[in-house]
Amino acid sequence: MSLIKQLWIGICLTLILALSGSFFISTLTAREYLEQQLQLKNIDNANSLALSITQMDKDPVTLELLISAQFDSGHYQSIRLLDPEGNIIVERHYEAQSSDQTVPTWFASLLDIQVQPGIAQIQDGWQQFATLHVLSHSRYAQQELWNSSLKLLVWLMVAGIICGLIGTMALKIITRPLGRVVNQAESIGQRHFVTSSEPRTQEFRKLVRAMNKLSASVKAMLEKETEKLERLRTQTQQDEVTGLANRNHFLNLLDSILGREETAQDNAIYMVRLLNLNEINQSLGRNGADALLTLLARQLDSFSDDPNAIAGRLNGTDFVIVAPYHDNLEQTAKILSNKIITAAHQLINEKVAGKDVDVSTPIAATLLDSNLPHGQILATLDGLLALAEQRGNRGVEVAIKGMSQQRNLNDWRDALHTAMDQHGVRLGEFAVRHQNGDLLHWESPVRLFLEQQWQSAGYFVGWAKRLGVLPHIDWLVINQALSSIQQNSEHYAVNISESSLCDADFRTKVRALLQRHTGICHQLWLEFPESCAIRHLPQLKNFSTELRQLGCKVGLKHVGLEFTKIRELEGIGLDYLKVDSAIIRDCHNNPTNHVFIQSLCGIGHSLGTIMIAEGVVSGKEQETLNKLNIDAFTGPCIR
Amino acid sequence: MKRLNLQKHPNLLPVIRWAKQSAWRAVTIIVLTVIAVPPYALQQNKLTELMLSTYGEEGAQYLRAWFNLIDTQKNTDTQHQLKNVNQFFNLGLTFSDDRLLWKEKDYWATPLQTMGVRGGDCEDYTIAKYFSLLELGIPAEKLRLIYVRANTGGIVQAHMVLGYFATPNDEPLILDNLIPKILPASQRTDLTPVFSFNSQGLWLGGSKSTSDPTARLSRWRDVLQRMQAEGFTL
Repeated sequence: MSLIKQLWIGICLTLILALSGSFFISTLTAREYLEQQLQLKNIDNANSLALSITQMDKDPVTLELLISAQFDSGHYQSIRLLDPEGNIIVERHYEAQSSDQTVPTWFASLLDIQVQPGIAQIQDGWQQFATLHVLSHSRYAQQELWNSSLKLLVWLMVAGIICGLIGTMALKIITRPLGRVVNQAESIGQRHFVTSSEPRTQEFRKLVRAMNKLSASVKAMLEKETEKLERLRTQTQQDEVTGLANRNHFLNLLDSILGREETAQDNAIYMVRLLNLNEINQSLGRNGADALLTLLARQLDSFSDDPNAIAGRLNGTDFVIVAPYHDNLEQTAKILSNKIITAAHQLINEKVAGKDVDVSTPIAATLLDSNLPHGQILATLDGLLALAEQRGNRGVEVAIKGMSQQRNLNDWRDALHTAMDQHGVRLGEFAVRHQNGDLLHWESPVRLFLEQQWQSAGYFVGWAKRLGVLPHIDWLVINQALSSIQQNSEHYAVNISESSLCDADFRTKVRALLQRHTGICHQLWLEFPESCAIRHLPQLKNFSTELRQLGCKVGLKHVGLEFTKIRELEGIGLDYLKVDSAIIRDCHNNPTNHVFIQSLCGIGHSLGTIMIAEGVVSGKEQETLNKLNIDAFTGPCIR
Repeated sequence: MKRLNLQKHPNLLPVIRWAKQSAWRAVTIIVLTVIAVPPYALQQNKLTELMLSTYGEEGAQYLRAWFNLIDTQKNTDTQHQLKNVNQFFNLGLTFSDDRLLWKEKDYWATPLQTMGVRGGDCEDYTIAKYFSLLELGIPAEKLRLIYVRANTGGIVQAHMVLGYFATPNDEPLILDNLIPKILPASQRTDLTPVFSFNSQGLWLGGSKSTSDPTARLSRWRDVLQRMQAEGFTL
């Protein structure tokens, strides 16, 4: 029961007690008082009337007149004059009229006012003449009592309501910080380690301070773990000189991109070769050459601002970037070539002024075909690069393969809208299973009906993003997932894009939708790309909090590549993490990533998240991952 | 009032001491009395205790004499009762002004107080006689306390006498302290009746008047209430 309800009950009880108590005391006291006053009035009036009559002539007319005058001008129930034998000489009696009675009969009978008549003796000389009985009206007394009881009732009710309102306000003021404290405690209970400002109420302040301390220690522990993880990542996944992904890691990343459903099909892969590295080594010295390589790497890394772009160093001289391309691949490659060479020349001029050192960086580029294995793609690039080398220092060779239909923006907009309006969306179903084989949920990537068939996300996602329709697609996906849950009552996980997360409208709509389906929200898993936790942390935190309050599970997917860049992981509130296949790949053969995976699982488990491996291709991988504390799996070998 | 009388009666002190010493005995007596005495009778022991503690042995002797009077007269005829009661007070009491006795202009004393100080003015005589006669079983409606205008040798003064009506329509017999002999009203040419009253009607509501604070506002009801507190049964 809420405090406010208890307060009101308390006030009502107190009121009833006060009301009945003061009602009885005041009415009984008043009744006694009125009885006394009436008694006095009876006695006194009887005596004074008797005194008057004693002094007067006692002929019947005078008697009649005297008693009538007293009765008519006064307030009497009855006046009776009895002779010594008890016979009535004169009597006046008030006949009750029902109209002047507003006191309920129950009240009148409850407060029966009993007053004795005043009795006085009348003499005629020495002789007894008569006995006078005077009885005043008690009805006005009842009326008075009834009125005062009503007033008392009204006043006590008003007082009660005022007390209640003041109490409610006071309670609200007192408990306002309590609400925040409870929220924080609940968040911590869900391993969502938030800190909050300390309230002014002393008891709450202590509590909040304690919880903040807990959150801070978890944060510190996570930071330590993350640092360790970062060191591991640097050791195992990075090229020592340039900081780019090393060959092994780059190939894993490439596989991961190729294997992903939603990878845009308009990705291009560029290979850059620093042809005259030996020559540069001689001219600039080892340090100079390293500086040049680092510069080159930085240029490549910053070439695309797309979060999915990756750059790597395959060997001493060969660098690779994967980035989405727009419009013209050859043009893009030329821009890249210019950028690199300009920067390189500038550096060389600074290092060894006046000396003419040439930089030869031929570039080969092709579109990324996710149907090809990475070996074949690299082989193609090697071939193209050989052609580019022949074209000189700034040689660029591009292979264009007709992949998706070349369309312009308007065509795509029409096609996407037609597809959504006419066919809606469909969801793919990929099982995500626990170690023991139980289904955790169905991972449900979107399908749209384009080009006469259901196409996976990769086919349209790049264009959809450019056209700003991703929030709408995600909205349809969530609706579709909810109806799947209603049909099959199983758990479904859907992917929410970065664009949707940043769309306030989308968030509001989803919140409203889920509020209408609170019964099944616990079966809906919503996952965001890892990059959201780095680039859109505030939105992610807020949205995640809202979703989790509704019962949904919130997770990150493709986790691992930039994991160590996530700040305040403990403050997001996550239920699960899906580890990128680039880290999982070949783990049964290659122990390089084992420590990394273990550390990742350690951090995840300390936050209470379920750790899921993506893209598991073999049972052997699964066995190894089991040992590395991964909780659940998805991928080609999981059905 | 108590202090005044203690000063007047220093012989009371040993009595009080005795009363204190035999407190247990007193309590026992009171308890036994309360148990033994029927509710309508006079609470003789209570009255005696009170008389002793307030007015001493002298008052108690007179009180005992009064008890004796009540006892012996209970079964005699009305004429004897009237005569003896009238005589008992007219002879036993000394007429005295309220101002001397009670240091008040007009004080209505209870019969116990009147008997204790062995004196009183006209209304004290009348009250004492009235209650004595009630005690002897004469119904209240036959008795009246009558305010009269007394003309004694050219001096006119306000006075009070007790009237006894054998039947409602008879002329009353007058019990007075000015003329000790009981005479029919017609022979009392010195007196002119003004107004009469008795305790009829005041007790119809039972004995609730003891708790009624308004009773103190009326001299008549006040004296009745004080009597009840002293142990008279009304």
